Amino acid sequence: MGDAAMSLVLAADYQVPDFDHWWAGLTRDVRRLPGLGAHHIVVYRSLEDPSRVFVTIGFRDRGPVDALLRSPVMFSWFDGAGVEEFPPMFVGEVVEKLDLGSPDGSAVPAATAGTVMVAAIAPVGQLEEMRDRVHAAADRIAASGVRRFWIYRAVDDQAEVMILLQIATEQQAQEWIRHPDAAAAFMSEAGEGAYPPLFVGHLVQAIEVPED
Amino acid sequence: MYVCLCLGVTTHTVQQSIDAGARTTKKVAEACGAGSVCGRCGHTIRTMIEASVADPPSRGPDRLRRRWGRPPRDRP
Repeated sequence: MGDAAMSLVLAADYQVPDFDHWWAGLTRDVRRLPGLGAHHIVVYRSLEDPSRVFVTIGFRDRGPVDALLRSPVMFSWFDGAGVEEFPPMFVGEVVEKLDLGSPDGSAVPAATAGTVMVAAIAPVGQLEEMRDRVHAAADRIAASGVRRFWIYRAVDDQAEVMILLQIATEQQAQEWIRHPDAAAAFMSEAGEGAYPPLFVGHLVQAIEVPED
Repeated sequence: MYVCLCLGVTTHTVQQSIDAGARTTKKVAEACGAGSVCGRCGHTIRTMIEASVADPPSRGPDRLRRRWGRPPRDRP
């Protein structure tokens, strides 16, 4: 794994009352985020609920999580979105990026605006066993339309993961939501308690944050 | 996941407080600090309390293991 694979990633699933207003605010906040050491922000928007977003923020360095979370910049981030109640925050690091390829054998193109994505945050039991199951089922998972399968492990719970799936079509994403592959059955735990429900959406934009 | 940004309190810690008997956001705040500063994580804490009331910890540690990612003993 490279350095990027070991960097910290923060993710949250929440609703913004006015997406367009929030988007303008996000552009303003990006200029302040370098103070936190962020190197990218990726925004996804739900296909079913246009006010629901899934945001991941990647950080250059793995600093203290507590300091990151209680930063005034983090609070202003949610204030700018009109979010009164903070959503639970996933904080973790990527442990695997599986590129499952395209049916014709070609490499999967980079995600662009509109690319369909499914996200899940859930307890997974034994992470290594889950990874083994996913590897063993890679062909079957690819046949269901999954092009990339990214696994992140939470820093506060070694058995909690965030999964990001890049999927070929909306229809295949909806089908995955209804019937995830047996190798990813843990995704059915999403939505229990504090965990957000499964998210299916499309990429709005991946923003590179300039260094200070 | 982290519930309380102010104090960096995780879902695991909040769930432990709930399972130990905290049934209001105030009680959770007293038990583990979550929600005791700005209070903007109250919705998440209430959601966790409601989920626990709907699915009480009758099986104690097994339920915790299931919820927080450790497979129960009776599962393969």
